[in-house]
Amino acid sequence: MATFVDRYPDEAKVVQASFAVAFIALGIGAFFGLIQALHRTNILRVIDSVDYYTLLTAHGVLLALVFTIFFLVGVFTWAIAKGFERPLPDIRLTWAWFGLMTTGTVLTAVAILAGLVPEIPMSADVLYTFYAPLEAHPAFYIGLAMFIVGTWMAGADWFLAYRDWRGDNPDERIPLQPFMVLTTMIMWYVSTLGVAVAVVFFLIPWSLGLIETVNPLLTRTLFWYFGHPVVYFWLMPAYLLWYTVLPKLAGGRLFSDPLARVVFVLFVLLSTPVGIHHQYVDPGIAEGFKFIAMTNTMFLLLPSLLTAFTVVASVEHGARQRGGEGYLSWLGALPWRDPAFAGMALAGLMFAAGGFSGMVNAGMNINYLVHNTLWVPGHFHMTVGTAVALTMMAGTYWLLPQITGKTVYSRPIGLFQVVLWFIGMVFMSNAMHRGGLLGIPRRTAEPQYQNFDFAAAVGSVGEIRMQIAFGGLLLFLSVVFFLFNVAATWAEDRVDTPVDDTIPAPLSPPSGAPLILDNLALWTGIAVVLVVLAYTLPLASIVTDSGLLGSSPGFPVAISLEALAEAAASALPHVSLDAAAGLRPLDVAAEAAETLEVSR
Amino acid sequence: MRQLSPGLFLVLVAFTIPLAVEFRTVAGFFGFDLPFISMILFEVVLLAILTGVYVLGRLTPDEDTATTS
Repeated sequence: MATFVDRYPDEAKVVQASFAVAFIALGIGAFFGLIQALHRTNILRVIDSVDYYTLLTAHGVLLALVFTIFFLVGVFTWAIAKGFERPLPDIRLTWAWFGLMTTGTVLTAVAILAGLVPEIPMSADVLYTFYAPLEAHPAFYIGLAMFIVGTWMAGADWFLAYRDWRGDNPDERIPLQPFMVLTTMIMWYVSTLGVAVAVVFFLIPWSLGLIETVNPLLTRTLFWYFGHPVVYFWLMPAYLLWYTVLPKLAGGRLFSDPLARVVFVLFVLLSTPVGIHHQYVDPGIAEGFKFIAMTNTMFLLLPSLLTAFTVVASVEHGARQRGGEGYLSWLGALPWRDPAFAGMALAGLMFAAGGFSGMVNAGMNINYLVHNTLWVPGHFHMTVGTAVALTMMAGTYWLLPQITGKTVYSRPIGLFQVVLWFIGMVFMSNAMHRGGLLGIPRRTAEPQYQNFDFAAAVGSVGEIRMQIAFGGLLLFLSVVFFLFNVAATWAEDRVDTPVDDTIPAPLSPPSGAPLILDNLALWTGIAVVLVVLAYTLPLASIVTDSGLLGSSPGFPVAISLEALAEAAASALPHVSLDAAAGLRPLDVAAEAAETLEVSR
Repeated sequence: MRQLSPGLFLVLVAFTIPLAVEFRTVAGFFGFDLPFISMILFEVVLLAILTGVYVLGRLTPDEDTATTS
């Protein structure tokens, strides 16, 4: 029986190439993650603390942007060709966006990793969020801009495929998988406008020296205008797999096609006007705007809960088709041996836990308790780090045979790998959440535990650190097993029927969904209006307060230990030992620097 | 005895980890400050129970509830 690679060989090559880039990024990013986990917890230090931020930036960019989005464009290309049952309109356009995204990725990665080599005058240790006034090398921003433009072209490619399909099928409902792709891309177009403006009009000219200053709050707000919807951009391919593939793997059918459409429409409407909830502690944004963002964020619980209901109902249907009975006993009838199913199910379970910790982040009052603490990476390692990443890895075990024509090398290794990821993440994210509640900060290579009294409700800081290191190690091993399995699969010989790639019709078919759900122009219009309502006044207020270009010069993010040592050595003669008595080293250094400045 | 497949057994082993890790937290809610070793002991107990269920299911399979998963 022919599978995807036989029907659409050109598209299969693009999907293969996208997955290859995604998995390379996954391997490098995971390795950097392990180094950070061991460094921060003081288990093993193979890098200078100065380089920690270079690796942290690379870890965030390679995993949160490159791995997830390259996998997304691969899955979406597969879904469009399979859903519309036709090749993409022009494969040259498809390769063009792939090439642009890859070039942008390489440029950005080089700008970041050059920070590890002092001889190269280039660095971008600005972390994944690239907040001004931290300034990166222009290549970092230009690479990111190329990457984003590449995704826009990919969306255009898929909309052109839709136009062709619609021309031949004027009265048909949009097939569910392409519907999910198109609505996700509408959300992406609306939300990436913010980061595009920030990068093209402010950060690139600023890093090139064309303008001297930026308004940090403005660029930061524009980043978060994009920064929260990007979470849903990562999540939507996982949702696509949960809605359309997971029920099939469970042996059943999707419970409700109309409900799935409602969920994706809600994400189009609600994803973007919420970004200010990442800025609850930012001065310069009125509390009222933050309250509105919080309210909008809470509305996003609705599609998440609808998804939980629909996916669980679909999986239960599958279990009962396989002979499962009782209120909970049906869980035992599910195909837990299948790594694709087990991985997605575990990812969904972890997503529920991540959703609960996300509600803490979203609440204005309790967010202050955990803001900028380890709680936050604990949260997003559960959501993007597991709900998304584990679903993508698990989905690979079902998708890879379709795009290569080869069977998975080892399903037992696959099962072991997804379970290992779940266990590793339980250790790491649990410890991060607990550490966050104690007030342990995030984004630091040198967390200090001596001068603070971390009152742990349970356990100790030492245990938390060990748990993070152990969890990080398990996660890295899981990635190694995954990459080995993928590489070995790729090296296999082709077979006639590598996997059953059929997707059964939903229990509640699309004919039951109101026609208005397929009116993409309407939902785009409403989404734009909601964004205008949510952002016009805050942005106007920020620009009125500090101007469009603000007054902040760039701050170098590249510091060398040699320069630091020279500064300290020149300051030391000015330090009075008596005055330094009882002070912490940092205070002594600050005082010395002040003395030096005065003496000059 | 219900027969567990190796796949389900492995997944259930994974589920015992968060139970063991959060065991002390739950005990803390009720004022019991348990030492670190209690988490390991609790995990061992959970694994022993799970292994027992798995082995018994293999030794005395219940034909009506045997799963093919």
